[in-house]
Amino acid sequence: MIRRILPFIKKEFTEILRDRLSITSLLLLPSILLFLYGYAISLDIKEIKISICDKERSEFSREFTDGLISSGYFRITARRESPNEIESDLRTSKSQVGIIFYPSVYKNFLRNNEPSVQILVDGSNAQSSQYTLNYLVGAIERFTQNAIKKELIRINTIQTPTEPLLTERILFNPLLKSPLYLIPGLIAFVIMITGAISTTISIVKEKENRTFEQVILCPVSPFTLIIGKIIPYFVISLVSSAIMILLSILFFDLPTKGSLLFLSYAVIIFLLCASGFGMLISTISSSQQVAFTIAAFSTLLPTIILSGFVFPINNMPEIIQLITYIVPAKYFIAILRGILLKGSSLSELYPETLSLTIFAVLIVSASIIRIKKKGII
Amino acid sequence: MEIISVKSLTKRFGNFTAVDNISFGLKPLTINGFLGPNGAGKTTTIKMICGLLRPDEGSIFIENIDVIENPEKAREKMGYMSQNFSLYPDLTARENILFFADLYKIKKSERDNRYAELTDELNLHEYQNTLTSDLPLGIRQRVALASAVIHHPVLLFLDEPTSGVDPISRMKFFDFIRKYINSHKATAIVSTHFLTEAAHCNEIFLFNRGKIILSGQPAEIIQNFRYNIFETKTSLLTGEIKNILNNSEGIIEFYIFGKRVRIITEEDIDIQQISVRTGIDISNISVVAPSFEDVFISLTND
Amino acid sequence: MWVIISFIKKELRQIKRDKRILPILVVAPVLQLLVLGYAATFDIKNIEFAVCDFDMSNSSRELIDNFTSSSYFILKYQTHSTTEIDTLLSSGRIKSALIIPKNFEKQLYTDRNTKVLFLTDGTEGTMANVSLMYARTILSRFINRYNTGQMYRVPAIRYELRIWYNPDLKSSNFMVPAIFALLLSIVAMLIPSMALVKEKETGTIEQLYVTPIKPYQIIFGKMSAFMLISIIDVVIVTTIAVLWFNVPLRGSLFDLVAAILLFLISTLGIATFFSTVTNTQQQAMMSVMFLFFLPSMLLSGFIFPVENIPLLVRWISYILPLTYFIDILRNLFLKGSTISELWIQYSMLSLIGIAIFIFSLLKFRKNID
Ligand SMILES: Nc1ncnc2c1ncn2[C@@H]1O[C@H](COP(=O)(O)OP(=O)(O)OP(=O)(O)O)[C@@H](O)[C@H]1O
Ligand SMILES: [Mg+2]
Repeated sequence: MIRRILPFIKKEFTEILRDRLSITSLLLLPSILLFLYGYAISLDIKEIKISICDKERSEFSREFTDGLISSGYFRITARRESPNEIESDLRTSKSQVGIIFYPSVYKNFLRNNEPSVQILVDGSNAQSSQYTLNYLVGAIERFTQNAIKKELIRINTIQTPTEPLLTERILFNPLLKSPLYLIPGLIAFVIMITGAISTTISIVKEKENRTFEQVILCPVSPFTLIIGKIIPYFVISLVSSAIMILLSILFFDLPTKGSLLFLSYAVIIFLLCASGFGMLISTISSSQQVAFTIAAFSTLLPTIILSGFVFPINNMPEIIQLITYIVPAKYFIAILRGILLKGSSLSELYPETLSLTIFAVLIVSASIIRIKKKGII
Repeated sequence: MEIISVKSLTKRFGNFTAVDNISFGLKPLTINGFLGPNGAGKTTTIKMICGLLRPDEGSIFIENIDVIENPEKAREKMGYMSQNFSLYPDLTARENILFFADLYKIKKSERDNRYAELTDELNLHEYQNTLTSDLPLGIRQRVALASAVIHHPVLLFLDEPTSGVDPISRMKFFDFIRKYINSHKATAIVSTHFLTEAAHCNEIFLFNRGKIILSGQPAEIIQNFRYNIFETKTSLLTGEIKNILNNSEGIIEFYIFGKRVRIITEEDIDIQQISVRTGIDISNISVVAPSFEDVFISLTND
Repeated sequence: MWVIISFIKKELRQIKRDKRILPILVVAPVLQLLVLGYAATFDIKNIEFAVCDFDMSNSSRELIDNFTSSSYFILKYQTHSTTEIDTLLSSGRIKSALIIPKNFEKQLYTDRNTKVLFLTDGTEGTMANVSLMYARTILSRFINRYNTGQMYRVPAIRYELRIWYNPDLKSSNFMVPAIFALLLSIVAMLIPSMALVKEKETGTIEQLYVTPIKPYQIIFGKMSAFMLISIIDVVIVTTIAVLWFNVPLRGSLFDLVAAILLFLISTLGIATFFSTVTNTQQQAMMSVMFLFFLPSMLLSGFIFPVENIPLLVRWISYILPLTYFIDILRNLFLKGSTISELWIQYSMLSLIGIAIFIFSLLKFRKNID
C-alpha cells in the first residue's frame, strides 16, 4: 500500500512545488493574512461620536455631557443649533448619537415633567449601537447616582451615601485583546480553505483533464489514488497551520498554556475534516468550476458565521443553533480557544474533541464509501 | 503571385530560438506541407502567421496585408485548426460548429446551409448532438475542421490535423482539403508527421531546429536526392549489423526494421562496393528508389 | 453586437449543460441568506452565568434577581465553591460568574461600601465586554434603588431615548444587506474568475483568437453570462431580505440598482483581471480567493468595523469594492440615503470598476505571448 502511494505523493508534490503561485498561496499567504488580520481586525468600539444641540447651556446640560465624556466612551464632535442638523448628522453618519437639550431643562429636572433631554441613537449599525446604548444607559445611571448623592447630601439625611464597589475580573484575556480571541477563528478559517478547497480542486482537475483515466489503469485502488492526492495538501496545510500558530504565539502573545500534543491532535483532526470534505465534494463534481462553487458556498461564510468565530452561538435562534452542530469549525474554534487561551485540558474539552473526531471519521468514511461505490470518474 | 510571403522570421523563447530566420512564399491554390521532427518550429511558425504569436524579427504578408501590424484585417480569411483539436468539450458538435459560424457573423440561413453541406461532406450526421468530449478522436478532428472552415476561409492553417487518425480517414481528409481548395480558391498549410502525406502536398517545407532545411515539390525533392538507397535482408542480430555498418565507410545512415536493413550511402557508392564494404552477399542486396522517409531521415537525423 | 450575443448564448449553454452549477448558483445564495441572516446576530443575551452567594441574605438574593430577571444573564449554576466556578469558566460551561462575599448586606447598611466580584471569560471578547457593561449597569441600579429608598423625592433624569433607523436594533437589518453583498461577490467574483482561464486550459482561446472577435467582446460575453446569473440572484435575495427578514428598503430602487450594477462591474472586472494574468483555473481561483475574497470578508466592514483597522491596513479596505458596496447597502436600506449623500462610495465603486476593466483589457491582448 505505502509503496504504491509513494509515487503519487511524489508526483503531486512535484506538481505543487512547480506551480509557484499555488505553493506560495498555500504556504505563505495564510501566515501573511493571519499576521495582517491579527493586527488589523478587531471588534472594539472606538469613541462614540456625539452631536449636541444645547442652546441654553444650563448647569445640568453641562454636567450631563461632562458625565458622558468622563466615561471615556464618548466624544462630542459637533455642536449644532437646531435639531434638524442633528438629524442630518445621524443620517450622514457624522455622529452616532445626537443629544438635544430643550430649553429650561434645569427647571424640569427633579420634577416629574415632560422629558426635556432627547437622546437619538443611530440604530442602523446594530453592532455598535448595542455598545452605544449600553454605554449610554450606564453613563446615565452613573449620572443619576451622582445626582442622588448630591441630593442626599443636600437634604442631609446621611453623610456618605452608599457606593457600589464592583470588582471586575476578566479571565484568560484580561485586556480583551481582539487578536487573542479572533486568531483561533482565523486559523480555522484558513485551514478550511487550504484543506478543503485545494484538495477538492486538485482532485477534480485530474478528473477534468482526464489524467485520472491514465492513472486508473495502474494497479492501484481508486482509494489509494485519492489518498495519494490528499496527503501532499494535508502536509502543506499542516505546515502552514503550524507556522500560523507559531506566528501567533510569537507576535500576539498567545498564552499557550495547554498541551502541545492536544493542540496537534486537534489541528490534525480538523484538517482531516477539511480534506474529507474536499474529497466528498470532488466525488460529486464533474468540473473544477462546480467543485469550487460548492466548496466556496459550503465553507467560506459558514465557517465565519456559524462557528462562533464572531457571533456567539447561543444567541442564535434554536434551529440555527442545530445547524451549527454540523460545522466542524465550531468545535475546532472552541478547542483552540480553550487550549491557547485558557490552557484547558482534554478532560475539560472532551465533548468538543469527541464531536470533532466523530465528524472527521464520518466525513472521511462517507467519501471513501462513495469512492468505493461509484469510482472517482 | 504569392499569397503568403514570409521574410526572415525569427521567434525566441528566452534564449532558445524556436524559429530561426526563415523565409518562404506560398502560391495560391496549393497545399503546403510542413514536415519536421518534434520541436522543429512548425507550430510556432503557423501561430505567427495566424497572428497568435508575435515574431521577434521578420515580416509576414498575406497578399498585401502586414499580419504583424494588422492581425485583425486578415482574420476573416483565415481558418485555424490547432494541434489538439480545441473544441468546447461541454458543447455538442453542432453547437461548436454553429458557435464559430456566429462569430463570423454569417447569416442564419446561409449558416444553416453551410452547416448542412459540411455535415454531409464530413459525415457528421450521427454525431451532431453528441458532446465533443464524448466523441472519438477522428470525429473530433472532423468537427474541428468543420468549425475551422464554416466561414469559408481562403487560408487554411491545419496544425497536425491528422495525428491520431486512422489511414482511411486521413486519405478522406486530404480529399476534402483538395476539394475545398479548388472550390474556394484557397491555400492551405498542413503540418504533419506522416511522411506519406507529403504526396498530397504541392509544396513541402522540411523544418529542423527552427530552420527550413529543404523545400520544393515532393517529386522534385526526391529527384534531387543525391544519395543511393540499398535494402538487404539479414539473419544477423541487430547489434552485429550495427557494428558492421558503423565501421563501413561511405554509409550516411541506415535503419533496421525487422529483418530488413535500409542503407543510405554516398552517391558514388554502388551495389558492389556496398557488398565489399559490409561483407553482405551481393544477391542479398537490392537497389531501391528513395522515398520521402529516406530524405527526411537523412536530413534530420544526427 | 451579434457576436457578443452568440458568445453569451454559448456561455449560457455551457453553464446550463452542467446540471449542477446553475442550481447551485441560484439556490445556494438563497439558503445561505436564510440561515446566515438569522445566525449573524450581535444581540448578546442569555449569557450563561453562575452565582456563588456566600452571604445568603435578602439583599444578595435581590441582587441575584436583578441579574437573572434581566434576560441578559441566564443562571446555570449556583454553588458555594470558587474552585467550581473556576472549572466551569475554564471549560466554557459558563461565560461569567458573580461572587457575593459574606457580609454583603451588613456592609451595605453599615460601611456603605459594598463589594461583589464579577468574573467574565475574555476569550469571546464581545461577550465579555457586553457582560461587563450589563453587570455595571445592574449594580448601579441596585445601589440607586437602595439609596433612593431613603429619600422623599427621587431625582431622576427624565430623558427620552429614541433609536432611529432600526428601533429594535435588529442585527438582521444590519447584517442581511452585508451577507447579500458577500454572496454576490462569490457569484460575481470568485466563480467567474475561473471562466476565462478555462478557455486557456482547453485551448479554445486560440481558436477564438483567430476569429474576428475582439478581446473586449470575449470578456464582455463571458462576464455578461455571470452578470445575468448575478441579477437573478439579486432579485431573489433582495426579495427575501425585504419580505422575509423585513429589512426596510428606505432608499430609492434606482439608487439600489445603480449600486448593484456598479458593484457587479467591479467584481467581474476583478474576476477578468485574474483570469487574464493566470494560466490555470486553480491559480485564478487561489489568487482571487487570497488576494481579494478573504480581505473582502475581513476588512470591508462586513463584521469588523473599518474604523478599527489601523490606517496602514485600512488602505486595503479602501481598494475593496465590497467596502463601499456594504456601506452603500446599509445606508440605503436603513437610512434611505441617496446617491448624492453617498457620492464618495458610488464614485469609488465606479472608479475601481472602470480601472480594473481597462487594466484587464490592456492585459488581455490578442497576442498570447
Ligand atoms: N511558449 C513557449 N515557451 C517556450 N518554449 C516554447 C514555447 N512554445 C514552443 N516552444 C518551444 O519551441 C520549439 C518549437 O516548438 P513547436 O511547437 O513550434 O514545434 P513543432 O515543430 O510544432 O513540434 P511538434 O511536431 O512536436 O508539434 C520547441 O522546442 C518548444 O519546446
Ligand atoms: Mg507542433
